[in-house]
Amino acid sequence: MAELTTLARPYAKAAFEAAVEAGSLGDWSESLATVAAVVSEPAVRSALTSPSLTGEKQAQLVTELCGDEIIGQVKNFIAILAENKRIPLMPEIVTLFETLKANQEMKVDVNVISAFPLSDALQEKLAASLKAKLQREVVLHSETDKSLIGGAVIRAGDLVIDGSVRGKLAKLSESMKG
Amino acid sequence: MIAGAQAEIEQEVNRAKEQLRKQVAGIAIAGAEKILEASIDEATHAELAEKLAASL
Repeated sequence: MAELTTLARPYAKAAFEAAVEAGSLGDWSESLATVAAVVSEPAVRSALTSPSLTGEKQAQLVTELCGDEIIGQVKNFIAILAENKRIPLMPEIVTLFETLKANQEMKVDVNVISAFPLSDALQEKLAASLKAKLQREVVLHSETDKSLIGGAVIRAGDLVIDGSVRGKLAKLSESMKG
Repeated sequence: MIAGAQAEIEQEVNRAKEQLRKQVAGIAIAGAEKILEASIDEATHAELAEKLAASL
């Protein structure tokens, strides 16, 4: 079993990277699940292990059985798998793909806009505190905006933490003007 | 008649006061902004960012 996982890993990784690049993780995930289900059917499984079937024919068989349920990229993926006689690995590939997807979704992109460039040490500190606060892996992107005067604004999804001097002044002004 | 006029005057005075207060606040903020802009350098900024990181 461990060996199957090892064999499946590079394929799962490649599929995952292609899916991220295309921005269609969800579609990939659904398509791969369909393919895995098709391949797991005993009749299909025995047909696929028959030595008389060429890689090309295997790919054709699986793609036809899946019909319109799968996206074009996944069809290409099947063709590559078939070429290398790795279609039976499909269930393992799906498992690994889903793990990668879950890890990716645990990550959150954080934008830090600061008045002056942040030192690496400070960026690390911010990332560490954000990680603790959000309970997720953090990918930090930093920008500078002189008009903030000092401090920084942190944006993580719909969470905005305004620690800038400009923000504090705006708050002060609001309370003074009532 | 007199009471009505007095009330109107009072209202006018209050409105003027309110306007003046807002203007003073605006000037104070603008002044604070200028001073802060001039006085905040990279070191102060780093301190602020550090505080922000600690307060999360």
